[in-house]
Amino acid sequence: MSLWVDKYRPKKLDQLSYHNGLTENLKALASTGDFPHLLVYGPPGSGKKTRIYGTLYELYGPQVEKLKIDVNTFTTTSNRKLEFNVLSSAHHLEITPSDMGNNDRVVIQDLLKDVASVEQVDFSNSAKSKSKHRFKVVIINEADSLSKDAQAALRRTMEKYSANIRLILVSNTTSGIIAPIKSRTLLVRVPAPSETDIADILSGIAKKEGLKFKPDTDNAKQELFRNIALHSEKNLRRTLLCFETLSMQSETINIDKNTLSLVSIDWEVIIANLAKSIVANKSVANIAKSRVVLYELLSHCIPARTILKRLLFDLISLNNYNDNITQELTEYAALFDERLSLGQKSIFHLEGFVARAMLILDK
Amino acid sequence: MLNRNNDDDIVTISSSDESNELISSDIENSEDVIRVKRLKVEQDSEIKPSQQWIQTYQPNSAKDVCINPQKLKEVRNILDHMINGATDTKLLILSGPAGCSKSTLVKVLANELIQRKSPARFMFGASTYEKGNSYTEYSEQSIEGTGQSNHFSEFLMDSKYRTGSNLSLILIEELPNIYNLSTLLNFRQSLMEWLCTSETLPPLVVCLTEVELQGENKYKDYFSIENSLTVETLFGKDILNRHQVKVVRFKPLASTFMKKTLNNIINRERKIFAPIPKKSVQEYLEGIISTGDIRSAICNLEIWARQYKYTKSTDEMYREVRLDFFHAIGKIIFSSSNFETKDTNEIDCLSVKEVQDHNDNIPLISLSLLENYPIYNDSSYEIRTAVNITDYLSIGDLLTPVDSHGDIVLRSTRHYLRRANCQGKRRHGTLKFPRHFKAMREYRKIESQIKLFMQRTGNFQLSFNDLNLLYGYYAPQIYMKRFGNSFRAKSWRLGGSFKEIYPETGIPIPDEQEDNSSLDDNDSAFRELFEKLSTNNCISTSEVSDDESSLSDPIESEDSDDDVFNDSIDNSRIGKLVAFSRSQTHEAKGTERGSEISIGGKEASDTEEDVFSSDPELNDIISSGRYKI
Amino acid sequence: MNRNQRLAKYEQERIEHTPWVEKYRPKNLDEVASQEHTVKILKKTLESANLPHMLFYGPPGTGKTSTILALAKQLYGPRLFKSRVLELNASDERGISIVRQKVKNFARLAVSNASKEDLENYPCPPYKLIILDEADSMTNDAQSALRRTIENYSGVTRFCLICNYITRIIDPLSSRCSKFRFGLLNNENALSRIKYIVEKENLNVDEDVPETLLSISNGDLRKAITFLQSASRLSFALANPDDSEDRMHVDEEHGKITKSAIQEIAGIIPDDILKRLVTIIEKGNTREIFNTVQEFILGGWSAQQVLDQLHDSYVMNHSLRPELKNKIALVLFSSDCKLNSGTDEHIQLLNFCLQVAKAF
Repeated sequence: MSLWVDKYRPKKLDQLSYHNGLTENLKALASTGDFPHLLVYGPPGSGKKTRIYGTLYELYGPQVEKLKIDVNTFTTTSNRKLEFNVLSSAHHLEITPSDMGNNDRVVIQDLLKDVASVEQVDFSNSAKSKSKHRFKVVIINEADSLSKDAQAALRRTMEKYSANIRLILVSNTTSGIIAPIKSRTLLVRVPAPSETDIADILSGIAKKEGLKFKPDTDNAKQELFRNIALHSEKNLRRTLLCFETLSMQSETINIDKNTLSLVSIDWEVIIANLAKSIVANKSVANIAKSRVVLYELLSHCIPARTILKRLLFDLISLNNYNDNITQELTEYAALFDERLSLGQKSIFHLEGFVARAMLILDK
Repeated sequence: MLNRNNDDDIVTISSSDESNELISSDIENSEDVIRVKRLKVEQDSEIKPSQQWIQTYQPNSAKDVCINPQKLKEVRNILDHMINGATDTKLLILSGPAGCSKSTLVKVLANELIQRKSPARFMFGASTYEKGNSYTEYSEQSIEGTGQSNHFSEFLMDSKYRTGSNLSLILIEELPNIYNLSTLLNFRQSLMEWLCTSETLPPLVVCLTEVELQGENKYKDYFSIENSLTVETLFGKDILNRHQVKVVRFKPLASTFMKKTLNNIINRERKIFAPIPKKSVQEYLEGIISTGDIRSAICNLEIWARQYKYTKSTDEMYREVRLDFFHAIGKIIFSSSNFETKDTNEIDCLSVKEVQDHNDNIPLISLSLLENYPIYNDSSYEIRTAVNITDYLSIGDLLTPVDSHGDIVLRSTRHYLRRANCQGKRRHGTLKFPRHFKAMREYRKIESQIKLFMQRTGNFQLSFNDLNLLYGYYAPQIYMKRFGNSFRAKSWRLGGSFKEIYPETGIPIPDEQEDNSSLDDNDSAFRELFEKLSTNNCISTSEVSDDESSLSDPIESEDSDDDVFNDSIDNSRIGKLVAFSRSQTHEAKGTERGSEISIGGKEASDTEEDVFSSDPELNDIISSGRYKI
Repeated sequence: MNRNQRLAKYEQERIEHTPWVEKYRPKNLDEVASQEHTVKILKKTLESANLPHMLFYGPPGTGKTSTILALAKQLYGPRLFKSRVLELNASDERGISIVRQKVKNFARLAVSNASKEDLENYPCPPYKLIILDEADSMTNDAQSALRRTIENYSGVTRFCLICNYITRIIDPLSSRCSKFRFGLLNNENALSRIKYIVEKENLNVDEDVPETLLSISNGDLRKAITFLQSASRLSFALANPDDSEDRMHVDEEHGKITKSAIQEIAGIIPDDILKRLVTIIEKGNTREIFNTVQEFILGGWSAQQVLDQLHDSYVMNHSLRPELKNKIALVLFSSDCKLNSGTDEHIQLLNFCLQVAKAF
């Protein structure tokens, strides 16, 4: 009953279908005893985690699939309790530091120290253990959101416990990672899959699930798959969710121009409509109306930055990539983007951008 | 010249000796023997400097209490019935602004009524009689450290036996530390138990000074109890709905009652007031009376009078005026006309200064300005003006840690609106209260639901954003189709469908009902999904089924929870979450496991995105960008 | 018996796992690459065995830590080294109290007696050496506390502070030390060091690899060596997919390390891809720029990296007009600044490219 995203997730490196060179490298690394710290980066839905778990499978075998979840608590100095999830198997654990706020340094240090000491004991008294790798892998998600402080501490930890722990940092980009960490890890770039890669995966699934298409020609299907890939910004996770939703809509998938509009994500549609209304009606009253939409999105936990980016791109394409408009809009988007980072309440900056966009378009 | 003022009272006072006599005769009529005696003592010997007027003139009988006679009668009746056991009422709640004689009234009435009921107590040795004996006050100070949350319930337990010959009124004026969630829950729990007891109980009275908006915790989201201490937030619906509870609400004191009391004092402190011109006294009185707070009025009057000979000032220096919230916003949006100068720049400056002097909650003002700048001339002015205003509001937000950021926000808004180019007659819309808090409440609700989804489906490997942005839309659709017609809900999204959020014209009061109804659809769909998923053996069912209770009603407990954000966080829900996470854990290891998850911890993480938080640590989290709205 | 074998094996593995940076740290002052001036002075002090308090500053990877460690080794010899030298690192706890406590405890220990043998071979001066690495990350409070500590224990200890930015060291502290500046390594020395390691490790590298390493690491030798090690690990793994037991015997069959492998490991954008971006920006078609930027983002390249490399490519390009360079530099500056506050890469990169295109 699991979603296709999970159902068709490759478990082993061999099952991966794209970025073969990369897969080779990982496989080779896993097969030697020596396994460096890794920094795996790439856009969302490009298969970073799948590759990491594939590599772990290669290292430890099916045991890594037996996951359990612990809820750890950590009491901060101000006596507040923080809760964070630790996902672990016998050989690895996985944490997401953004759960921990700015206590990440202490939490991670404690956790790693724990892991390291446990492993050391294991090593000294278990000659029987067959495992040829006596290190435990610690996966740290969203590593770019780690505070600088925590990263500096990590760098020390990497050296100190290098015998017992291998770190795998996962992040969307290397920008937020401090240089010492970058130079102490093996950088593994996982680019987004190409349209063809995605189309191949989708047609494989379509075959297995016995989906029916109309018209049932290879060309039409390829076209559809590619469009889904583009529509989902080459994010494989999103592609699969989108594809499954589409397949649920009707028995036979009608391939025509409107197919994809059935599965446009709601919040994206809302932003697209906002962009249209900004272009259509440039007035103070409409700025006030836009605020309703902005709050609607914000209250639904849509990150302000995502709203800004989406809105910018929608506005640009509505204006047909006009040179001046694009350039000016982007300039201000960059400005308000920075203010989103520095400020406290996003609504000010988002509304500021909306107002500015109207002014730019009004010329 | 003095009599130009039409107000009778003022004329009486300000004119001559004759009026003074009038007042003193008034006092004699009041038959307040004790007080007159004391008055004489004081007039003979100089006033003891240690004794403040507020204590000196503490009323000893109900008639003297500065209050509307009708309220007096109402409270007296209720208390009388309670003391004589002639009513079901077991808890009387008096609420109202500061200094409206709530607790004074209760204390005085307690003396009178209890004394009347059992005069025997006071027959022998009147010297042992002390006022305090007729009422017992709760005070938290005595206990430190451990068991603080239980302190209140212990106090109530002890108080149960103050009946019969030992009869005493139980007065709760000082509250336990209700900002701590568990203490608050405990507080409510003990009151509930009190109400449900069948034995005869002494009368219990709670005096609550309601605080709103501009309390000490000005940086908090005011929807929580932290800065909106009202009858509703303190007691919760369950208690208030019981028939044993009576609530009497007080308003700020009307000026006539205040004037009467204050004039009494002035009259008796003739010595001090002698050198002060009558006109100044009257002017000053006008000022302090308008606050409706008798306590601060007396204090201020005393200080002002004693210092008059040094300062000669008629400034109402100790007067506590709060510019009404909407009034302040209006001053910035529309500017103000009640200054003498004609120079628009100067008017703007003065408006801004006035608002700044009386409002230190600039983040709230900024939000309100953002909410309200378009109502100026019904939004018909140039976009450029709006661009400038929002730009400066945005900059103001960046500078929030800097003290003077209020200046930037207020001045720039006023400046650009002044220069807004609009023709013809100006028509403005109505002022609104920022909807930010409403949105934030929504945000937390949705966030917690998405997290719940993550817990229930075991999608721990996904980031929160992926869950919300992608799964939030797709997953329900897929599940719905998969379960086919057996799935009752029509369409939904994780955390509920998108909802437009509008501002309100008044200062909104959190409405618990509203939230519930809007959540229902989504909740039922949510619950259904989990039922289906568990019966369809989808996600780690074997583990989940260990814990029957968490399966049978995953969301029910949330339903019973009135308002997730109204700090009435339900124990059972969290408990179940914890139980759930434990059931997924095969082996116990270490001590830092789920058992330690307290509600406090959950609550803390829930409120982490509170943007107004004054906790520097939270601020850091917020500025790291993740918990921002 | 089993135990001994295991220990031996463990020891061997430990050596294998040692980062090359540690493995190839210079053992004496003569081996220190570049920094002739500093080395010359330090050698003098070695002769007299009278060491001042020292402050080493300079960019990362220029041999500051290596120099002081080499000096210490030459001063005390391997046996005394442990008891006479205390190394404190920035990533350890660095509160005032901890620094003070550690320094105090260490300084208080009596100076251990040097054995006769050591005395013959090494100067063995009667004081201890405390190395404070990354001193500039200490708070000002901690630094002023350190000032007292230095004075108090100056009889029995010498301090060596190491930092990247001398401006972050408070004046009273820096005035108590003799300062040594470590400049960027000049290429010849660094190159020969890399070649030395390549030779020692029996690596099979393309000819242009050492130069690539240097240009990527910008004179930071540590970075260069780390990259080299990562690359060799990867290529080694590729060449010996299965057999990990007899790796010591198959040195000759290492996979070849190529320039592009080094670039990938360092997260460097390959020249041809970057070149395409440069030409597209120059052409100035908005839609094309938009699409290319999107490609870059989907390719996983970090905007910071793109900016860094574009910076090099623009600033080094002598065919550009000076005014144009000025403009570009300004845009670079502001974009870099914004990226540093954790902004969205896509928006910022797009903005940068459009701004530069406009400047052309």
